[in-house]
Amino acid sequence: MNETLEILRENLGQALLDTAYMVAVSAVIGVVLGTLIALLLYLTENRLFRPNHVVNVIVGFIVNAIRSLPFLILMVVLIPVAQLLLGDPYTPTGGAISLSIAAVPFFARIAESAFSEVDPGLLEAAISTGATTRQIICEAVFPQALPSFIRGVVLTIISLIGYSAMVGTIGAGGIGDMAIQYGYNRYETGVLVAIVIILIVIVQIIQWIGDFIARKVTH
Amino acid sequence: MSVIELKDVSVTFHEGGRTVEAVRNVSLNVDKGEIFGIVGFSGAGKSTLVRTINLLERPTGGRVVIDGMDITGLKGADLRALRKKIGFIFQGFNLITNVTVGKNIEFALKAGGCPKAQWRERIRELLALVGLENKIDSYPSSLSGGQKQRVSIARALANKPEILLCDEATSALDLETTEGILALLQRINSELGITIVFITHQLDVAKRIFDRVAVMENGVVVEQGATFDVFSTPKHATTKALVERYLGIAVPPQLVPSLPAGTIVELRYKGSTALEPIISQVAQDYGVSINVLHANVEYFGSQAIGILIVLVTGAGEPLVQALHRLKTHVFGYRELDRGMLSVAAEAGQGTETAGNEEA
Repeated sequence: MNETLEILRENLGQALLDTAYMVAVSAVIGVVLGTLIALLLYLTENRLFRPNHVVNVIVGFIVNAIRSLPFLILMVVLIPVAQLLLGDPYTPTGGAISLSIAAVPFFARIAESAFSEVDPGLLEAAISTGATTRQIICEAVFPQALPSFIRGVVLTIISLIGYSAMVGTIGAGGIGDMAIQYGYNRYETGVLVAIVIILIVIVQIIQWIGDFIARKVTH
Repeated sequence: MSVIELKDVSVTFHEGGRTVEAVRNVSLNVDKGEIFGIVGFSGAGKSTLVRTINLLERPTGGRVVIDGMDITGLKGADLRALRKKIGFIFQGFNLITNVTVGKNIEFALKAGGCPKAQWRERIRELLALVGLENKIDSYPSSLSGGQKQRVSIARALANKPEILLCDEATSALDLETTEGILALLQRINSELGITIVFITHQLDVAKRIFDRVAVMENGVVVEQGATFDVFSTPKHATTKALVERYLGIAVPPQLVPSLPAGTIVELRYKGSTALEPIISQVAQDYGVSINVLHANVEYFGSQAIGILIVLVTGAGEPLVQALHRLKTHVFGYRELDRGMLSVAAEAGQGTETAGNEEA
Protein backbone atom coordinates (compact mmCIF):
# COMPACT_ATOMS: atom_id res chain seq x y z
CA MET A 1 0.00 0.00 0.00
CA ASN A 2 2.73 2.41 0.94
CA GLU A 3 4.64 1.48 -2.15
CA THR A 4 1.54 2.15 -4.28
CA LEU A 5 1.13 5.57 -2.74
CA GLU A 6 4.80 6.24 -3.26
CA ILE A 7 4.55 5.40 -6.97
CA LEU A 8 1.46 7.54 -7.36
CA ARG A 9 3.04 10.45 -5.55
CA GLU A 10 6.17 10.34 -7.64
CA ASN A 11 4.65 9.71 -11.06
CA LEU A 12 0.99 10.61 -11.20
CA GLY A 13 1.40 14.37 -11.42
CA GLN A 14 3.77 14.22 -14.38
CA ALA A 15 1.71 11.51 -16.07
CA LEU A 16 -1.46 13.59 -15.82
CA LEU A 17 0.38 16.66 -17.12
CA ASP A 18 1.74 14.70 -20.08
CA THR A 19 -1.69 13.30 -20.89
CA ALA A 20 -3.30 16.70 -20.52
CA TYR A 21 -0.64 18.18 -22.79
CA MET A 22 -1.07 15.54 -25.49
CA VAL A 23 -4.86 15.70 -25.36
CA ALA A 24 -4.99 19.49 -25.29
CA VAL A 25 -2.59 19.96 -28.20
CA SER A 26 -4.24 17.31 -30.35
CA ALA A 27 -7.77 18.46 -29.46
CA VAL A 28 -7.00 22.06 -30.43
CA ILE A 29 -5.33 21.02 -33.67
CA GLY A 30 -8.06 18.47 -34.35
CA VAL A 31 -10.89 20.93 -33.77
CA VAL A 32 -9.30 23.81 -35.71
CA LEU A 33 -8.10 21.85 -38.75
CA GLY A 34 -11.03 19.44 -38.55
CA THR A 35 -13.47 22.35 -38.68
CA LEU A 36 -11.71 23.83 -41.70
CA ILE A 37 -11.80 20.50 -43.52
CA ALA A 38 -15.44 20.04 -42.50
CA LEU A 39 -16.25 23.46 -43.99
CA LEU A 40 -14.48 22.51 -47.20
CA LEU A 41 -16.49 19.28 -47.38
CA TYR A 42 -19.72 21.06 -46.49
CA LEU A 43 -19.33 23.93 -48.94
CA THR A 44 -18.29 21.70 -51.83
CA GLU A 45 -21.08 19.23 -51.12
CA ASN A 46 -23.97 21.67 -50.72
CA ARG A 47 -25.57 22.81 -53.97
CA LEU A 48 -26.55 26.13 -52.35
CA PHE A 49 -22.87 27.04 -51.87
CA ARG A 50 -19.95 25.95 -54.03
CA PRO A 51 -20.72 22.46 -55.24
CA ASN A 52 -17.47 20.91 -56.41
CA HIS A 53 -17.69 17.19 -56.73
CA VAL A 54 -14.00 16.62 -57.49
CA VAL A 55 -12.68 18.50 -54.45
CA ASN A 56 -15.35 16.94 -52.25
CA VAL A 57 -14.50 13.42 -53.33
CA ILE A 58 -10.74 13.88 -53.01
CA VAL A 59 -10.90 15.49 -49.56
CA GLY A 60 -13.48 12.96 -48.45
CA PHE A 61 -11.22 10.14 -49.62
CA ILE A 62 -8.23 11.44 -47.65
CA VAL A 63 -10.34 11.84 -44.52
CA ASN A 64 -11.71 8.32 -44.90
CA ALA A 65 -8.29 6.89 -45.61
CA ILE A 66 -6.85 8.19 -42.33
CA ARG A 67 -9.95 7.22 -40.43
CA SER A 68 -9.87 3.70 -41.79
CA LEU A 69 -6.56 3.01 -40.02
CA PRO A 70 -6.94 1.73 -36.48
CA PHE A 71 -5.18 4.19 -34.22
CA LEU A 72 -2.66 1.61 -33.12
CA ILE A 73 -1.47 1.26 -36.71
CA LEU A 74 -1.62 4.97 -37.48
CA MET A 75 0.53 5.59 -34.42
CA VAL A 76 3.21 3.14 -35.54
CA VAL A 77 3.13 4.45 -39.10
CA LEU A 78 3.68 7.98 -37.79
CA ILE A 79 6.73 7.18 -35.66
CA PRO A 80 9.14 8.07 -38.52
CA VAL A 81 7.24 11.34 -39.06
CA ALA A 82 7.67 12.31 -35.43
CA GLN A 83 11.29 11.22 -35.65
CA LEU A 84 11.81 13.52 -38.59
CA LEU A 85 10.10 16.47 -36.94
CA LEU A 86 11.37 16.10 -33.41
CA GLY A 87 14.42 13.90 -33.49
CA ASP A 88 13.01 11.83 -30.66
CA PRO A 89 9.50 10.50 -31.30
CA TYR A 90 9.14 8.94 -27.85
CA THR A 91 8.01 12.10 -26.08
CA PRO A 92 4.64 13.63 -25.26
CA THR A 93 5.06 15.93 -28.27
CA GLY A 94 5.67 12.87 -30.45
CA GLY A 95 2.48 11.41 -29.05
CA ALA A 96 0.64 14.65 -29.70
CA ILE A 97 1.64 14.50 -33.37
CA SER A 98 0.03 11.14 -33.99
CA LEU A 99 -2.97 12.05 -31.84
CA SER A 100 -3.45 15.25 -33.86
CA ILE A 101 -3.32 13.41 -37.15
CA ALA A 102 -5.98 11.03 -35.89
CA ALA A 103 -8.06 13.85 -34.39
CA VAL A 104 -8.27 16.01 -37.51
CA PRO A 105 -10.26 13.64 -39.75
CA PHE A 106 -12.21 12.33 -36.76
CA PHE A 107 -13.42 15.78 -35.85
CA ALA A 108 -13.82 16.78 -39.51
CA ARG A 109 -16.55 14.16 -39.94
CA ILE A 110 -18.23 15.17 -36.68
CA ALA A 111 -18.23 18.86 -37.59
CA GLU A 112 -19.36 18.11 -41.13
CA SER A 113 -22.36 16.23 -39.82
CA ALA A 114 -23.10 19.04 -37.34
CA PHE A 115 -23.15 21.51 -40.25
CA SER A 116 -25.19 19.20 -42.45
CA GLU A 117 -27.88 18.93 -39.80
CA VAL A 118 -28.64 22.63 -40.26
CA ASP A 119 -31.99 22.96 -42.01
CA PRO A 120 -31.49 23.73 -45.73
CA GLY A 121 -34.46 26.09 -45.44
CA LEU A 122 -32.43 28.21 -43.05
CA LEU A 123 -29.66 28.38 -45.64
CA GLU A 124 -32.13 29.47 -48.31
CA ALA A 125 -33.42 32.20 -46.00
CA ALA A 126 -29.89 33.34 -45.18
CA ILE A 127 -28.83 33.32 -48.83
CA SER A 128 -31.96 35.26 -49.76
CA THR A 129 -30.89 38.17 -47.56
CA GLY A 130 -27.91 38.67 -49.87
CA ALA A 131 -25.42 37.63 -47.20
CA THR A 132 -21.94 36.46 -48.15
CA THR A 133 -21.01 32.82 -47.67
CA ARG A 134 -18.73 33.87 -44.85
CA GLN A 135 -21.53 35.62 -43.00
CA ILE A 136 -23.89 32.71 -43.58
CA ILE A 137 -21.38 30.22 -42.16
CA CYS A 138 -20.32 32.36 -39.19
CA GLU A 139 -23.66 33.82 -38.19
CA ALA A 140 -26.30 31.34 -39.32
CA VAL A 141 -24.83 27.87 -39.81
CA PHE A 142 -22.39 28.02 -36.92
CA PRO A 143 -24.78 29.20 -34.17
CA GLN A 144 -27.31 26.66 -35.38
CA ALA A 145 -24.75 23.82 -35.41
CA LEU A 146 -23.11 24.88 -32.15
CA PRO A 147 -24.79 22.39 -29.78
CA SER A 148 -23.86 19.41 -32.00
CA PHE A 149 -20.45 20.94 -32.51
CA ILE A 150 -19.80 21.16 -28.76
CA ARG A 151 -20.95 17.60 -28.22
CA GLY A 152 -18.54 16.62 -30.98
CA VAL A 153 -15.67 18.41 -29.25
CA VAL A 154 -16.44 16.49 -26.05
CA LEU A 155 -16.57 13.20 -27.92
CA THR A 156 -13.23 14.02 -29.55
CA ILE A 157 -11.54 14.94 -26.26
CA ILE A 158 -12.75 11.76 -24.60
CA SER A 159 -11.61 9.64 -27.54
CA LEU A 160 -8.23 11.39 -27.43
CA ILE A 161 -7.83 10.54 -23.75
CA GLY A 162 -8.32 6.91 -24.74
CA TYR A 163 -5.89 7.14 -27.63
CA SER A 164 -3.35 8.96 -25.48
CA ALA A 165 -3.07 5.84 -23.32
CA MET A 166 -2.10 3.97 -26.47
CA VAL A 167 0.69 6.39 -27.39
CA GLY A 168 1.79 6.00 -23.79
CA THR A 169 2.47 2.33 -24.39
CA ILE A 170 5.09 3.10 -27.03
CA GLY A 171 6.86 5.52 -24.75
CA ALA A 172 5.19 8.89 -25.16
CA GLY A 173 4.43 9.06 -21.46
CA GLY A 174 1.24 10.05 -19.77
CA ILE A 175 -1.27 8.21 -17.71
CA GLY A 176 -1.53 5.24 -20.09
CA ASP A 177 2.22 4.74 -19.94
CA MET A 178 2.04 4.76 -16.15
CA ALA A 179 -0.78 2.23 -16.10
CA ILE A 180 1.18 -0.16 -18.29
CA GLN A 181 4.54 0.32 -16.58
CA TYR A 182 3.37 -0.03 -13.01
CA GLY A 183 -0.02 -1.62 -13.16
CA TYR A 184 0.72 -4.19 -15.85
CA ASN A 185 4.46 -4.80 -15.89
CA ARG A 186 4.97 -4.49 -12.15
CA TYR A 187 1.67 -5.93 -10.94
CA GLU A 188 0.84 -2.79 -8.98
CA THR A 189 -2.91 -3.34 -8.96
CA GLY A 190 -3.36 -0.38 -6.66
CA VAL A 191 -1.86 1.96 -9.25
CA LEU A 192 -4.08 0.51 -11.92
CA VAL A 193 -7.20 0.94 -9.80
CA ALA A 194 -6.26 4.53 -8.96
CA ILE A 195 -5.75 5.35 -12.64
CA VAL A 196 -9.06 3.75 -13.60
CA ILE A 197 -10.88 5.85 -11.00
CA ILE A 198 -9.09 9.03 -12.07
CA LEU A 199 -9.98 8.39 -15.73
CA ILE A 200 -13.62 7.75 -14.92
CA VAL A 201 -13.82 10.97 -12.93
CA ILE A 202 -12.06 13.05 -15.59
CA VAL A 203 -14.24 11.72 -18.41
CA GLN A 204 -17.40 12.29 -16.38
CA ILE A 205 -16.42 15.86 -15.62
CA ILE A 206 -15.61 16.62 -19.25
CA GLN A 207 -18.88 15.10 -20.40
CA TRP A 208 -20.80 17.02 -17.78
CA ILE A 209 -19.21 20.35 -18.70
CA GLY A 210 -19.78 19.68 -22.40
CA ASP A 211 -23.45 18.82 -21.91
CA PHE A 212 -23.90 21.89 -19.76
CA ILE A 213 -22.45 24.20 -22.43
CA ALA A 214 -24.36 22.47 -25.22
CA ARG A 215 -27.61 23.02 -23.34
CA LYS A 216 -26.72 26.67 -22.74
CA VAL A 217 -26.36 27.37 -26.44
CA THR A 218 -29.51 25.49 -27.49
CA HIS A 219 -32.62 27.62 -27.63
CA MET B 1 -44.65 48.01 -65.91
CA SER B 2 -43.60 44.47 -65.23
CA VAL B 3 -41.23 44.23 -62.33
CA ILE B 4 -40.69 40.51 -62.83
CA GLU B 5 -40.64 38.84 -66.22
CA LEU B 6 -40.13 35.13 -66.56
CA LYS B 7 -39.41 34.26 -70.16
CA ASP B 8 -39.68 30.64 -71.16
CA VAL B 9 -38.14 29.51 -67.86
CA SER B 10 -37.35 25.84 -67.39
CA VAL B 11 -35.71 24.03 -64.49
CA THR B 12 -34.50 20.49 -64.95
CA PHE B 13 -32.98 18.40 -62.18
CA HIS B 14 -30.78 15.39 -62.65
CA GLU B 15 -31.11 12.99 -59.79
CA GLY B 16 -29.22 9.74 -60.02
CA GLY B 17 -29.66 9.28 -63.76
CA ARG B 18 -33.27 10.44 -63.59
CA THR B 19 -34.27 13.72 -65.17
CA VAL B 20 -37.02 15.73 -63.54
CA GLU B 21 -38.48 18.68 -65.38
CA ALA B 22 -39.74 20.68 -62.40
CA VAL B 23 -40.58 23.76 -64.44
CA ARG B 24 -41.23 23.74 -68.17
CA ASN B 25 -41.19 26.82 -70.38
CA VAL B 26 -43.00 29.13 -68.02
CA SER B 27 -43.56 32.70 -69.11
CA LEU B 28 -45.28 35.21 -66.92
CA ASN B 29 -45.13 38.87 -65.95
CA VAL B 30 -45.70 40.36 -62.54
CA ASP B 31 -46.65 44.01 -62.48
CA LYS B 32 -45.27 46.53 -60.07
CA GLY B 33 -47.27 46.79 -56.86
CA GLU B 34 -49.54 43.81 -57.41
CA ILE B 35 -50.00 40.63 -55.43
CA PHE B 36 -49.44 37.84 -57.88
CA GLY B 37 -50.32 34.31 -56.90
CA ILE B 38 -49.21 30.96 -58.17
CA VAL B 39 -51.46 28.10 -57.17
CA GLY B 40 -51.39 24.40 -57.85
CA PHE B 41 -51.33 21.07 -56.07
CA SER B 42 -48.12 20.06 -54.35
CA GLY B 43 -45.42 18.90 -56.73
CA ALA B 44 -46.62 21.22 -59.49
CA GLY B 45 -43.31 23.10 -59.54
CA LYS B 46 -44.50 26.27 -57.80
CA SER B 47 -41.69 26.37 -55.23
CA THR B 48 -39.05 25.75 -57.84
CA LEU B 49 -40.48 28.47 -60.07
CA VAL B 50 -40.59 31.11 -57.33
CA ARG B 51 -36.99 30.25 -56.40
CA THR B 52 -35.81 31.19 -59.88
CA ILE B 53 -36.83 34.79 -59.20
CA ASN B 54 -33.93 35.31 -56.77
CA LEU B 55 -31.87 32.53 -58.33
CA LEU B 56 -32.01 30.21 -55.33
CA GLU B 57 -32.77 27.91 -58.23
CA ARG B 58 -30.94 28.60 -61.46
CA PRO B 59 -33.11 28.16 -64.52
CA THR B 60 -31.71 25.58 -66.93
CA GLY B 61 -33.50 27.40 -69.74
CA GLY B 62 -35.09 30.77 -70.38
CA ARG B 63 -34.51 34.13 -68.74
CA VAL B 64 -35.47 35.92 -65.57
CA VAL B 65 -35.79 39.69 -65.91
CA ILE B 66 -36.15 41.94 -62.87
CA ASP B 67 -36.84 45.65 -63.39
CA GLY B 68 -35.91 45.27 -67.02
CA MET B 69 -32.54 43.70 -66.26
CA ASP B 70 -31.73 40.14 -67.25
CA ILE B 71 -30.47 38.55 -64.03
CA THR B 72 -30.26 34.95 -65.19
CA GLY B 73 -26.47 34.92 -65.31
CA LEU B 74 -25.74 37.03 -62.23
CA LYS B 75 -23.03 35.84 -59.87
CA GLY B 76 -21.14 36.91 -56.77
CA ALA B 77 -21.57 40.47 -55.56
CA ASP B 78 -24.10 41.35 -58.29
CA LEU B 79 -26.28 38.42 -57.31
CA ARG B 80 -26.07 39.35 -53.63
CA ALA B 81 -27.04 42.93 -54.49
CA LEU B 82 -30.06 41.63 -56.39
CA ARG B 83 -31.12 39.42 -53.48
CA LYS B 84 -31.17 42.42 -51.17
CA LYS B 85 -33.96 43.83 -53.33
CA ILE B 86 -35.99 40.63 -53.01
CA GLY B 87 -37.34 39.45 -49.66
CA PHE B 88 -38.27 35.80 -49.22
CA ILE B 89 -40.50 34.18 -46.62
CA PHE B 90 -41.08 30.47 -46.24
CA GLN B 91 -43.60 27.96 -44.95
CA GLY B 92 -41.18 26.82 -42.24
CA PHE B 93 -40.17 30.39 -41.23
CA ASN B 94 -36.50 29.35 -41.39
CA LEU B 95 -35.29 31.50 -38.53
CA ILE B 96 -31.94 30.93 -36.84
CA THR B 97 -33.37 29.34 -33.71
CA ASN B 98 -30.24 29.63 -31.56
CA VAL B 99 -30.11 33.42 -31.73
CA THR B 100 -32.67 36.04 -30.70
CA VAL B 101 -35.34 37.65 -32.84
CA GLY B 102 -33.27 40.84 -32.92
CA LYS B 103 -30.18 38.94 -34.09
CA ASN B 104 -32.17 37.25 -36.83
CA ILE B 105 -33.13 40.62 -38.25
CA GLU B 106 -29.65 41.98 -37.64
CA PHE B 107 -28.34 39.19 -39.85
CA ALA B 108 -30.25 40.61 -42.80
CA LEU B 109 -29.34 44.22 -41.97
CA LYS B 110 -25.68 43.30 -41.87
CA ALA B 111 -26.00 41.40 -45.14
CA GLY B 112 -27.60 44.48 -46.67
CA GLY B 113 -24.78 46.76 -45.57
CA CYS B 114 -26.86 48.81 -43.15
CA PRO B 115 -24.51 50.83 -40.89
CA LYS B 116 -24.11 49.21 -37.49
CA ALA B 117 -25.19 52.36 -35.66
CA GLN B 118 -28.65 52.06 -37.22
CA TRP B 119 -29.26 48.38 -36.52
CA ARG B 120 -31.03 48.79 -33.21
CA GLU B 121 -33.36 51.45 -34.55
CA ARG B 122 -34.13 49.56 -37.78
CA ILE B 123 -34.85 46.37 -35.83
CA ARG B 124 -37.29 48.30 -33.64
CA GLU B 125 -38.96 49.81 -36.70
CA LEU B 126 -39.31 46.45 -38.40
CA LEU B 127 -40.64 44.71 -35.30
CA ALA B 128 -43.12 47.54 -34.82
CA LEU B 129 -44.26 47.08 -38.41
CA VAL B 130 -45.05 43.40 -37.80
CA GLY B 131 -46.46 44.03 -34.33
CA LEU B 132 -43.75 42.38 -32.22
CA GLU B 133 -42.03 45.36 -30.58
CA ASN B 134 -41.44 43.56 -27.30
CA LYS B 135 -39.91 40.40 -28.75
CA ILE B 136 -36.51 41.74 -29.73
CA ASP B 137 -34.64 39.66 -27.13
CA SER B 138 -36.86 36.57 -27.31
CA TYR B 139 -35.71 33.35 -28.92
CA PRO B 140 -37.82 32.00 -31.78
CA SER B 141 -38.70 28.86 -29.80
CA SER B 142 -40.74 31.00 -27.41
CA LEU B 143 -42.89 32.39 -30.26
CA SER B 144 -46.04 31.01 -31.85
CA GLY B 145 -46.11 30.06 -35.53
CA GLY B 146 -47.73 33.33 -36.51
CA GLN B 147 -45.18 35.32 -34.54
CA LYS B 148 -42.31 33.41 -36.13
CA GLN B 149 -43.71 34.23 -39.55
CA ARG B 150 -43.93 37.88 -38.53
CA VAL B 151 -40.28 37.82 -37.55
CA SER B 152 -39.40 36.26 -40.89
CA ILE B 153 -41.40 38.99 -42.63
CA ALA B 154 -39.48 41.62 -40.64
CA ARG B 155 -36.23 39.95 -41.69
CA ALA B 156 -37.34 39.83 -45.32
CA LEU B 157 -38.17 43.54 -45.26
CA ALA B 158 -34.94 44.55 -43.51
CA ASN B 159 -33.23 45.70 -46.69
CA LYS B 160 -36.26 47.57 -48.04
CA PRO B 161 -36.91 45.17 -50.89
CA GLU B 162 -39.09 45.96 -53.92
CA ILE B 163 -40.31 42.40 -54.15
CA LEU B 164 -41.43 39.92 -51.51
CA LEU B 165 -41.58 36.24 -52.42
CA CYS B 166 -43.79 34.03 -50.25
CA ASP B 167 -43.47 30.26 -50.48
CA GLU B 168 -46.54 28.69 -48.83
CA ALA B 169 -46.07 31.34 -46.16
CA THR B 170 -49.35 30.57 -44.41
CA SER B 171 -49.60 26.83 -44.99
CA ALA B 172 -48.22 25.92 -41.57
CA LEU B 173 -50.57 28.30 -39.75
CA ASP B 174 -54.11 27.96 -38.49
CA LEU B 175 -56.95 29.92 -40.07
CA GLU B 176 -56.98 32.82 -37.67
CA THR B 177 -53.22 33.29 -37.75
CA THR B 178 -53.29 33.03 -41.55
CA GLU B 179 -55.81 35.84 -41.62
CA GLY B 180 -53.47 38.05 -39.56
CA ILE B 181 -50.47 37.31 -41.76
CA LEU B 182 -52.47 37.98 -44.93
CA ALA B 183 -53.68 41.30 -43.53
CA LEU B 184 -50.09 42.20 -42.73
CA LEU B 185 -48.92 41.27 -46.23
CA GLN B 186 -51.72 43.31 -47.76
CA ARG B 187 -50.69 46.28 -45.67
CA ILE B 188 -47.07 45.84 -46.70
CA ASN B 189 -48.22 45.68 -50.30
CA SER B 190 -50.38 48.78 -50.19
CA GLU B 191 -48.40 50.96 -47.77
CA LEU B 192 -44.87 50.12 -48.82
CA GLY B 193 -45.73 49.40 -52.45
CA ILE B 194 -43.89 46.08 -52.36
CA THR B 195 -44.76 43.68 -55.15
CA ILE B 196 -45.68 40.27 -53.74
CA VAL B 197 -45.41 36.90 -55.42
CA PHE B 198 -47.19 34.32 -53.30
CA ILE B 199 -47.34 30.63 -53.98
CA THR B 200 -49.86 28.44 -52.23
CA HIS B 201 -52.13 25.45 -52.57
CA GLN B 202 -54.70 27.20 -50.36
CA LEU B 203 -57.45 28.83 -52.38
CA ASP B 204 -58.56 30.64 -49.25
CA VAL B 205 -55.37 32.65 -49.49
CA ALA B 206 -55.70 33.06 -53.24
CA LYS B 207 -59.18 34.50 -53.19
CA ARG B 208 -58.36 36.71 -50.24
CA ILE B 209 -55.34 38.63 -51.52
CA PHE B 210 -54.32 37.79 -55.08
CA ASP B 211 -54.83 40.39 -57.78
CA ARG B 212 -53.79 37.98 -60.49
CA VAL B 213 -53.08 34.30 -60.40
CA ALA B 214 -51.31 31.62 -62.39
CA VAL B 215 -52.27 27.97 -62.06
CA MET B 216 -49.48 25.41 -62.30
CA GLU B 217 -49.57 21.73 -63.05
CA ASN B 218 -46.64 19.44 -63.85
CA GLY B 219 -44.23 22.33 -64.18
CA VAL B 220 -46.42 24.21 -66.64
CA VAL B 221 -48.58 27.30 -66.14
CA VAL B 222 -51.91 26.07 -67.45
CA GLU B 223 -53.95 29.18 -66.88
CA GLN B 224 -53.42 32.74 -65.70
CA GLY B 225 -55.37 35.94 -65.36
CA ALA B 226 -57.31 38.06 -62.90
CA THR B 227 -58.10 35.97 -59.84
CA PHE B 228 -61.85 36.21 -60.11
CA ASP B 229 -61.88 35.36 -63.80
CA VAL B 230 -59.64 32.35 -63.38
CA PHE B 231 -61.65 30.87 -60.52
CA SER B 232 -65.11 31.79 -61.70
CA THR B 233 -64.52 30.46 -65.20
CA PRO B 234 -61.90 27.76 -64.75
CA LYS B 235 -60.86 26.43 -68.13
CA HIS B 236 -58.18 23.90 -67.37
CA ALA B 237 -58.91 20.64 -65.56
CA THR B 238 -56.46 21.51 -62.77
CA THR B 239 -58.10 24.85 -62.10
CA LYS B 240 -61.48 23.16 -62.11
CA ALA B 241 -60.23 20.55 -59.67
CA LEU B 242 -58.79 23.23 -57.37
CA VAL B 243 -61.99 25.24 -57.41
CA GLU B 244 -64.12 22.13 -57.01
CA ARG B 245 -62.17 20.97 -54.02
CA TYR B 246 -62.22 24.41 -52.54
CA LEU B 247 -65.90 25.11 -52.92
CA GLY B 248 -66.38 21.66 -51.45
CA ILE B 249 -69.78 21.17 -52.99
CA ALA B 250 -71.12 17.75 -52.24
CA VAL B 251 -74.37 16.30 -51.04
CA PRO B 252 -73.74 14.08 -48.03
CA PRO B 253 -73.91 10.55 -49.50
CA GLN B 254 -76.05 9.22 -46.70
CA LEU B 255 -78.64 11.83 -47.63
CA VAL B 256 -78.95 10.74 -51.25
CA PRO B 257 -81.17 7.64 -50.79
CA SER B 258 -83.64 9.55 -48.66
CA LEU B 259 -84.18 12.34 -51.20
CA PRO B 260 -87.58 12.45 -52.86
CA ALA B 261 -87.78 11.74 -56.58
CA GLY B 262 -86.68 14.57 -58.83
CA THR B 263 -83.73 15.93 -60.74
CA ILE B 264 -80.64 17.03 -58.87
CA VAL B 265 -79.02 20.01 -60.55
CA GLU B 266 -75.87 21.94 -59.83
CA LEU B 267 -76.19 25.63 -60.65
CA ARG B 268 -73.40 28.17 -60.69
CA TYR B 269 -73.52 31.88 -60.81
CA LYS B 270 -70.96 34.59 -60.62
CA GLY B 271 -70.60 38.27 -60.12
CA SER B 272 -73.65 40.23 -59.25
CA THR B 273 -76.19 37.78 -60.68
CA ALA B 274 -78.31 36.52 -57.86
CA LEU B 275 -80.00 33.18 -58.24
CA GLU B 276 -82.85 33.36 -55.79
CA PRO B 277 -85.19 35.46 -57.96
CA ILE B 278 -84.72 33.08 -60.90
CA ILE B 279 -85.34 30.03 -58.75
CA SER B 280 -88.52 31.33 -57.24
CA GLN B 281 -89.63 32.67 -60.63
CA VAL B 282 -89.07 29.30 -62.30
CA ALA B 283 -90.84 27.45 -59.50
CA GLN B 284 -93.77 29.78 -59.78
CA ASP B 285 -94.00 29.85 -63.58
CA TYR B 286 -93.82 26.09 -64.15
CA GLY B 287 -95.40 24.76 -60.99
CA VAL B 288 -92.33 22.76 -59.97
CA SER B 289 -90.78 22.69 -56.52
CA ILE B 290 -87.14 23.56 -56.10
CA ASN B 291 -85.33 22.64 -52.89
CA VAL B 292 -81.85 23.86 -52.15
CA LEU B 293 -79.74 20.92 -50.91
CA HIS B 294 -76.44 22.68 -50.63
CA ALA B 295 -75.21 26.15 -51.28
CA ASN B 296 -71.87 27.84 -51.16
CA VAL B 297 -70.90 31.37 -52.00
CA GLU B 298 -67.31 32.52 -52.05
CA TYR B 299 -66.17 36.06 -52.48
CA PHE B 300 -63.09 36.74 -54.53
CA GLY B 301 -62.35 40.30 -53.60
CA SER B 302 -65.72 41.96 -54.04
CA GLN B 303 -67.08 39.46 -56.52
CA ALA B 304 -68.90 36.27 -55.70
CA ILE B 305 -68.90 32.78 -57.11
CA GLY B 306 -71.86 30.73 -55.99
CA ILE B 307 -72.75 27.10 -56.37
CA LEU B 308 -76.14 25.68 -55.51
CA ILE B 309 -77.27 22.10 -55.60
CA VAL B 310 -81.01 21.96 -55.96
CA LEU B 311 -83.59 19.21 -56.20
CA VAL B 312 -86.19 20.01 -58.82
CA THR B 313 -89.43 18.05 -58.45
CA GLY B 314 -92.17 18.13 -61.02
CA ALA B 315 -93.50 16.21 -63.97
CA GLY B 316 -93.79 16.19 -67.73
CA GLU B 317 -93.37 19.19 -70.00
CA PRO B 318 -93.32 21.84 -67.23
CA LEU B 319 -90.29 20.13 -65.64
CA VAL B 320 -88.41 20.06 -68.94
CA GLN B 321 -89.23 23.71 -69.53
CA ALA B 322 -88.27 24.65 -65.98
CA LEU B 323 -84.88 22.98 -66.33
CA HIS B 324 -84.35 24.66 -69.69
CA ARG B 325 -85.16 28.04 -68.22
CA LEU B 326 -82.69 27.48 -65.39
CA LYS B 327 -80.05 26.31 -67.84
CA THR B 328 -80.28 29.43 -69.94
CA HIS B 329 -80.25 31.81 -66.98
CA VAL B 330 -77.34 30.58 -64.97
CA PHE B 331 -73.66 30.63 -65.60
CA GLY B 332 -73.13 26.92 -65.02
CA TYR B 333 -75.63 24.08 -65.20
CA ARG B 334 -75.09 20.40 -64.60
CA GLU B 335 -77.57 17.64 -63.87
CA LEU B 336 -76.19 15.21 -61.33
CA ASP B 337 -76.73 11.47 -61.40
CA ARG B 338 -77.79 10.11 -58.02
CA GLY B 339 -75.55 7.08 -58.16
CA MET B 340 -72.59 9.18 -59.18
CA LEU B 341 -73.39 11.71 -56.52
CA SER B 342 -72.88 9.39 -53.60
CA VAL B 343 -69.71 8.01 -55.15
CA ALA B 344 -68.43 11.47 -56.02
CA ALA B 345 -69.19 12.71 -52.55
CA GLU B 346 -67.13 9.92 -51.03
CA ALA B 347 -64.28 10.52 -53.46
CA GLY B 348 -64.54 14.22 -52.71
CA GLN B 349 -64.15 13.57 -49.03
CA GLY B 350 -61.15 11.39 -49.76
CA THR B 351 -59.33 14.15 -51.59
CA GLU B 352 -60.30 16.61 -48.91
CA THR B 353 -58.50 14.52 -46.33
CA ALA B 354 -55.44 14.25 -48.55
CA GLY B 355 -55.46 18.02 -48.90
CA ASN B 356 -55.49 18.53 -45.18
CA GLU B 357 -52.57 16.21 -44.62
CA GLU B 358 -50.60 18.05 -47.19
CA ALA B 359 -51.27 21.33 -45.41
